[in-house]
Amino acid sequence: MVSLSVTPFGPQHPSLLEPIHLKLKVEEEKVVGVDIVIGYNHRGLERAMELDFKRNIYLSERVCGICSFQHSTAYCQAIEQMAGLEIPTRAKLIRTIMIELQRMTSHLLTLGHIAEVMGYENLFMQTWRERESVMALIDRIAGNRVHYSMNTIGGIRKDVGYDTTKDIEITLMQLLPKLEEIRGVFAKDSTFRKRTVGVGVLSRSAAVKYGAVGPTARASDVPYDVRLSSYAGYGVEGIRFRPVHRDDGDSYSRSMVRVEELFQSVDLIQQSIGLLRDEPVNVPFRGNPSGEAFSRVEAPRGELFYYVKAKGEVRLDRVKIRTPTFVNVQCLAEMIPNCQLADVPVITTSIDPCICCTDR
Amino acid sequence: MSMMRTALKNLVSKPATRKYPAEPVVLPEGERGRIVYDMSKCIFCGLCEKRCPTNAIMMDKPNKRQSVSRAKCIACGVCVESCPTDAIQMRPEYSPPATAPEVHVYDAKLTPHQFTVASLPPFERAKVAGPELMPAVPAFPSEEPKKEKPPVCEGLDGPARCVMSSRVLTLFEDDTVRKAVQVMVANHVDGLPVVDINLKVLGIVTGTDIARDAGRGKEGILSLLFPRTGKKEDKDRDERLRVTMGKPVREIMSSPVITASEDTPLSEIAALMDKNRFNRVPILDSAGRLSGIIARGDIMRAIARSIEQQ
Repeated sequence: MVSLSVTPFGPQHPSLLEPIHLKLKVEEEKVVGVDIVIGYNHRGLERAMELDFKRNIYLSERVCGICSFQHSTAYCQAIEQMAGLEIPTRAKLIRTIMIELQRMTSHLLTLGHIAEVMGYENLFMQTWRERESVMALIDRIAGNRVHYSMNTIGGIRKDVGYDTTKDIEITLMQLLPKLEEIRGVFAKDSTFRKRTVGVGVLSRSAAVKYGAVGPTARASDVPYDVRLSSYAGYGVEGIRFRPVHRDDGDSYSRSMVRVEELFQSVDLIQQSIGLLRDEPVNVPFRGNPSGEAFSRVEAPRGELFYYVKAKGEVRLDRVKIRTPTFVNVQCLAEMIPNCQLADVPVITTSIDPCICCTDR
Repeated sequence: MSMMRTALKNLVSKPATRKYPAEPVVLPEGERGRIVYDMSKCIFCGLCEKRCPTNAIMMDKPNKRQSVSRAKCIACGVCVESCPTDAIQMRPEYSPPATAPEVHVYDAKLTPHQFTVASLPPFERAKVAGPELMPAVPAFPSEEPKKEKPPVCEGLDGPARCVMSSRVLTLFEDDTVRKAVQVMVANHVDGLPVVDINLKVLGIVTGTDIARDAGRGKEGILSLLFPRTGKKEDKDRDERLRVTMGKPVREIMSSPVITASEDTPLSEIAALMDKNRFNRVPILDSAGRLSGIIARGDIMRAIARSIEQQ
């Protein structure tokens, strides 16, 4: 006779970087159901953002440390849209470069984290070593590793000079063979495959039903990518890319989508650098915004959505942030049932949960 | 199998990490570390203070000072961009670690990029008196104009500055009463002026203030002196004391304070004390900053000295 018991997973757990609570309904070793509890990390940032629209350029970066530039881009785009500003192509391309560099650091972090929670510390260290070179590159470009403070309403605050673009190109050229090595390990290594292939499957219909976004959706054969909507530099003439997608929907596919997106990011950065022309990087913005606008960006975890309503004052009426993890974390209810208890950390990590964003 | 090869390779190769404290970190040139002021260029327009997204910059126009709260500064560089005279620079270096939130004060009297630290470790903070006692990093330049010519101190008619004790123990308004008591007991004083970072006197805390606050209740102050009975009164009294000890001094200090300037004659100060039943009067310098304090004991000493001279 098998009895049902409830095992708590989180909010504090060695395999979790951030607080999320999963109530696992367990029959012996098999998980039959899950309740997801979020909200342990709430900081009231949406409310704080209503105070001063200019301060938000820097405050929005602090919603999340690992997609900080995505957040400030989304916010600045919303205000630019309200004010009817068309930002210069050079600013758009620099935004693209920084977005893609940040995507690389985020994906390398997640891949390392997945390897770590399955006990594959060697792979974790390899991945994070390569991540460090991207972080150091960002430090040289923006002056800080995490909070770039490069965005402003109307473009980019700090231009990227010729030396810096050369630096980016050289660093990426040195990084590519190492990324190839990492791709080989993630694709072929038997330890990694045994823990991920067929684990935590999210079918295409379930992904559509839950509205999954980002790599989680793309691994379930939903080729949905906000970058196709041509924001920032993705709509500039000459930038070509096709979303990576896979059909299996398991943890392995989600990891491989991220590995492939590393190469896509390198490609997009190289394309953007080739298109940089000599022109100013920002247009002046004066006065206070009024009206309402929304903007979307493809954060490393999926679609990030900002809605801003202004009333022609320094104070804003409302800022609403809808983060990718908010949707993806609900997909866990579909992935976790019928898996082994030991696979729960791997499945949870494979959607790359960012609770910091989600709870705001 | 490729990971096995990598593992063996890593076993014999050098570590990928930096041996940090032993090997210094090299920050890139454009690193946003911390901001420094060149006060010779500053025109006190207030743009940096206005545009700072975290309100980390405080301008003190009358005293020609700019203060940067290090814990608030996010090194975004908005002040550097907004400064019309390029008085602010971003340096690729971090502020040294501190045990309390620091405020760096840039004074027009200092050479460019020099600053004084206005907040000190919790127990050092009470020792701050005049700016000359602040541990300056780097120190105030030695050629700071010093008013030589000691004032004439004849009898009881001299100005306040020749009698006052210039080493004043002070508190900040968010210090707890517990700390006030510790400072009072350790230094054998009964009254401590409460100042802000510009050494402006906000109030004064005395033993009486503390006793009055802790002795609230039907028995009044005297209840603090009752012997312990081991009954409920004991518990109540301990609870009241605990609450008082945890309060910030701003809640119990006497404010506003009657002060005197350095040039006020001693006889006037004595009259002031007699009239208002004070025990001590803080002395301010010409800029309104705390420079000393005169207690009843100081006046006694002056009288004793003048009798000796006769």
